[in-house]
Amino acid sequence: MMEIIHTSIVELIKISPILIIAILISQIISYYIPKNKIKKVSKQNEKNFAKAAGIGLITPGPLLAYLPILKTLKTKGAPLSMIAAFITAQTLIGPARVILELKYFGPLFFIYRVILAFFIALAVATGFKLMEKYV
Amino acid sequence: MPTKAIQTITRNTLKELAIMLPVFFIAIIIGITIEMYLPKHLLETLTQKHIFIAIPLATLLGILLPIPRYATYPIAFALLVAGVGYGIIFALICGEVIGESIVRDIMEIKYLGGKFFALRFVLSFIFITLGGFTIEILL
Repeated sequence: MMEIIHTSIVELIKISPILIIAILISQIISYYIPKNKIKKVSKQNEKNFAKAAGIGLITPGPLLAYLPILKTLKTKGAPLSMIAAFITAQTLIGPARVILELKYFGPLFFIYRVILAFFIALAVATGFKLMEKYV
Repeated sequence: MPTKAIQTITRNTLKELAIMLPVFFIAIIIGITIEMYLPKHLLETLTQKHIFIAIPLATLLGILLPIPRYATYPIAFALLVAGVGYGIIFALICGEVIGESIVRDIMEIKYLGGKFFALRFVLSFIFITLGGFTIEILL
């Protein structure tokens, strides 16, 4: 047990700088990208899932912070498919994940994951588009 | 960078770190326990033999386990070292798309509705599982 705790502390010390940088980068982006950017995108083209998914991929921070805006968009008539595309992409990838994921799994895994995450978000949005009248 | 921006960013970073560090430490302990006690070839054999069950199961575990953001990484890395394939790792990490935190899920249901959440759950499960199989082929 002591060996596990000791190894875990050593590992935490090793990974801490990466974690700090990852969180710092996500906070900097979060500070400079206004949350109403999502609002703008949804107004530009309601059918543009790709744009919603793309914005979701680069949007930092917890989803909780964006839920009130998404609710407002829903109330104002934004399609659920677009909201789903944003939420799916936002939760799958985020700026802070880049550094951690590169450290743990390498660049190739991360690149594949970003590409697949984008397509997963599009697929979920398409599913929503087909099922929208039942939701 | 203006002083106000530096102050806000530093404060928010410290706040998030205060939440993340203990969680990350627990995740590292779990990861190291897996590395130390799980027989290396057991998981490799099990997951490769039953890959068609293992990937959907990993997606479901990723979705259902309320592991906070980023804390999945040390655990997933330990599983990778133990011989689990990249498809399962992908499914486990992506499962965080739902169920990362119970509070978030409740808020999502409150703001966007139960049907929205249920449909997102089902669609995410299907497409993340397919993504897991794709990664398994690619890597």
